Amino acid sequence: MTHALEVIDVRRSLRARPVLEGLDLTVDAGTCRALVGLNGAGKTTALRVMLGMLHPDSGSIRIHGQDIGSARGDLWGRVGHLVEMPFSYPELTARENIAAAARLHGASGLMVQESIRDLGDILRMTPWLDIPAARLSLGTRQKVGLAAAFAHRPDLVVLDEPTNGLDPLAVVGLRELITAFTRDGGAALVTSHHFDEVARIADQVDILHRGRVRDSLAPDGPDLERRFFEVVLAADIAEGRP
Amino acid sequence: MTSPRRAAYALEARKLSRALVSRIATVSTLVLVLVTTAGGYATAQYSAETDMGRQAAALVTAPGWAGYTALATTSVGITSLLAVGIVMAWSVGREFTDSTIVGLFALPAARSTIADAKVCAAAIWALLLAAAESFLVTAAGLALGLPGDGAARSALAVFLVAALLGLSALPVMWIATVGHGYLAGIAATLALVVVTNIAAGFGLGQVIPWAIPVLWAAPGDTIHPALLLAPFTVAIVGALLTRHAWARLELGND
Repeated sequence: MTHALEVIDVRRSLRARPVLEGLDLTVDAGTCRALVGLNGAGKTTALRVMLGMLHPDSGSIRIHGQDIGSARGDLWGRVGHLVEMPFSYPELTARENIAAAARLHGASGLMVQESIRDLGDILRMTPWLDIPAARLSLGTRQKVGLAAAFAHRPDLVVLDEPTNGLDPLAVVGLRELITAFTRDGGAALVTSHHFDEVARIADQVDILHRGRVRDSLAPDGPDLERRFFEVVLAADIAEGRP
Repeated sequence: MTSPRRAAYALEARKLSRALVSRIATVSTLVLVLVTTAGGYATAQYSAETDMGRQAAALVTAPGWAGYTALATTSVGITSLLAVGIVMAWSVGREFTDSTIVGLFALPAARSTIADAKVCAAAIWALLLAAAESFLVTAAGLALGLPGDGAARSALAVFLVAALLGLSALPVMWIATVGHGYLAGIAATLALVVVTNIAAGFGLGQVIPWAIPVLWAAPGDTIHPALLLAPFTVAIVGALLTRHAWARLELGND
């Protein structure tokens, strides 16, 4: 079976310090996978490598079976992402930002308008669609970034801390959005520091520590936070690190 | 489906046309060029007995359109290079400074295409600004009583100088890319303006591509018109370097 996203034994050093040390990860269609880890575990570097922002020193990343190093650019039309900063230029309105992101992914005009209308409803941001992003709150700019990740109707999304700055109602909206997305066959990879949120969104939780996935947990088991720390501690003891 | 390439060009054009920095640069350039050229010429002609008039008259080194054009191109030379350089540095550098660069990865449109779109939008704006400077300065010259004969030649010279100097600022887009922010590009722009003026002051202008257009437009110039290819070549090299740097761009590896 072809995975929507497949990270195979990826290694990457930055300034001579190993950051990813044999990262393996898969995300399948119809599932949401969460990547959790302490600060400095390598999450940001892992996402950058998966999205072609950094080249791996070794290993490979495949999206729908195609290596991103040699695939045609069209492949990215099937991928949406919100990493680090939302797609939100202050001089453009929320609607213009979302539409621009969708068109850069190759979406057509009619589909873009439909998507913006639907995403505006789900994320409770319709009243702010025609306001310049410079005047939007941090949370609303985050909604713009989320809408920009979904507006071209991708089948794989990569979302870094997607609930940053969102109010509780928008968090519920995002959860509905991801649930509907995976129910329709989409594949999602999210990162988060909030275990209760991860438990509600993800089908599987991968624990990233010191550049590798150390364990994969079911989110519905008892006390996810405690199991996370047990895995991290066990990895440190096994490697003789403090 | 919409062409991602077309979308990249449309996005860069819209960002530049909406941005406060390009609007301020446009207005301040036009005002500065008009005030220094028309104001300087009028002061030299009509208040020659005052201290300011004597200073202004020293800058108008030939009668009629020749002197007026030289004054205009001196003003245009500095303002165009500075204004266009700052806008070009901002256009690229803001993506890094504001961290919006992450949204320009993982797209069907290659990053070299996005770099081309940025260069294209900035270059077209620089040419439109040059045309506006040329029109305003020429209209002001006619309003100050200069004859209709010679106006077209002056307008063309002012446009050519402004356009060449604006385009020759393109290497700052590459510097803003390599420096991952607009401060590097703006610093490079300031350095270009300072070095060009100092070199021209020492009589080395003909070996500095950014000084050649203004020297060519000066009365009694000794600059061969073929040397005007130098700033144009600098522009092409700047565009290609920017494209190359964007195609090889990595984030977090600095």
